[in-house]
Amino acid sequence: MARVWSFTKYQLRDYRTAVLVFYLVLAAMIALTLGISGRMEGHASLSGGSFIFVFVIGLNCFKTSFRFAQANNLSRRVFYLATLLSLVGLAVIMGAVDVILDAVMDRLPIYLGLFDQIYGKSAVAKGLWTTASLIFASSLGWMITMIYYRSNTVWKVIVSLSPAVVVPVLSILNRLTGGRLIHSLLSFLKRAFGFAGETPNPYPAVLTFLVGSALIWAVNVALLYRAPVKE
Amino acid sequence: MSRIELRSLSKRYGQTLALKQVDLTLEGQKIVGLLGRNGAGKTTLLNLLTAKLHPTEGTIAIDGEPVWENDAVLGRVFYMTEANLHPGSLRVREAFQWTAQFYPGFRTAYGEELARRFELDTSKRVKELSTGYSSIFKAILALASGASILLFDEPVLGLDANHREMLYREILANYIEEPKVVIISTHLIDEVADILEEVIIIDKGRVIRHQPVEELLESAYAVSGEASKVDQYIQGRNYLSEERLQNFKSVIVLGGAVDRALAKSLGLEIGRPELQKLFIALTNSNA
Repeated sequence: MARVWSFTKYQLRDYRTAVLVFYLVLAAMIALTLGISGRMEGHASLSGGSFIFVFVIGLNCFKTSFRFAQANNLSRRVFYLATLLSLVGLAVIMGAVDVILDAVMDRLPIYLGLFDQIYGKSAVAKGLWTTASLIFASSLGWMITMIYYRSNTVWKVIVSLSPAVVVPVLSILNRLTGGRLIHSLLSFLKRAFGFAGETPNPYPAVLTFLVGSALIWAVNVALLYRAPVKE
Repeated sequence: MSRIELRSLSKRYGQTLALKQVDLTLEGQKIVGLLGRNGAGKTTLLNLLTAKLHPTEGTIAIDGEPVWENDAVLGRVFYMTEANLHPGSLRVREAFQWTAQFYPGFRTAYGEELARRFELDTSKRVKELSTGYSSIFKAILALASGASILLFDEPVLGLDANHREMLYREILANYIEEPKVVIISTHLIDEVADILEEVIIIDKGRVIRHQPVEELLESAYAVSGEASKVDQYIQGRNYLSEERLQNFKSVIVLGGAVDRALAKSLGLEIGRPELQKLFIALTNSNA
């Protein structure tokens, strides 16, 4: 377990500079928001940036770190657990920071955070929802980078083209099912993200993000299985 | 005491069988040379030994425990890879600190002392190191790691003659101070020959020799002199290679007793072959 903690520390240290730069940029944007506050109508939100940022962190958390883990003769299990812990740890820290920033910014009449816009105001739910969404985003990035790592050139092309194929395939399947496919899909997404009732409920969304993350982690176990060190 | 056991070990890359049914047992503390021509399977063997690759067939155990996904075993082995696996942005001193996290026996002071002696600037980033200094950096990590099994893959790559000599001496001093298993894979056989106790020769994915260096050198002898006389001497004998320079010829004869009387009557010289020449002869003939 000592090796897991040590490598978790290494991973978190690796993210440190990027996180600091991200929040410096965010601070600049807050300053800008303060500057234009009162001179515009409608609402501004800083939410969403963290989601994209941790997704990019996930995309970058694998290859270099895996090689470093191999340089130190760490097993794939240690690497996996440490990477998972570091991404969850990062999501918890950034989730907390985001909730605090949101609370501060909330004092401005112009500001309305993304969560508040969707689900209304609830600090606890916001903290859980933000953290869970960040865990999901970083895990997704990690999975995508590992899929590319394990793929040969042909599979890389197939994987890259797959998002473009999804929409037409869905459209065809929807026609074949007489529109029931999209209807069922939307119905599932509504329930999964807490929009099935009269008022939006964030807790199903938290659960969806966490279940989605757990599924991704299972896929990542398979992707890391016997992963070789590449030059 | 360490015991490394490889049983029926094979590794296939697509259509290429890089290692074929390797059976090998290394016991006790010693410095072993892993010799082979380019593409013979040396690096594949080291990568399998450290679970960087999964074998297609066979098993690998250290002290009776399988190596695969076994951190207790992997933590006792330090592998200085030929490829640089450290992040380029990492500073040398940071690499020392992190290695100490993963190898509790890492001797930071010793590492820093080696860095000073090899004039390795520890404030430099890994990506700023030349090929030679990159080798020195990795070799220092290995020597200071405190691991009981050290694997070196081409440890002197890019090093000048002085640094090569220093490194060989340091490997030997490190081994004497703290006996361990040291496996050195290298092409510079003559340079390393003096510190090797045992040798493993791999050819085309098969282990063709695994024996103490002395025993290997005693299993063959070199005969040299006038070409026609040498030809006369080697008739009916198992010889591996021959070198010819005008009327002078030198041949490495494998096995059998030396016929000193015949050699003397033919005016031939009998000598001990150099390890490198014997290696070339063995891997050319695959005897």
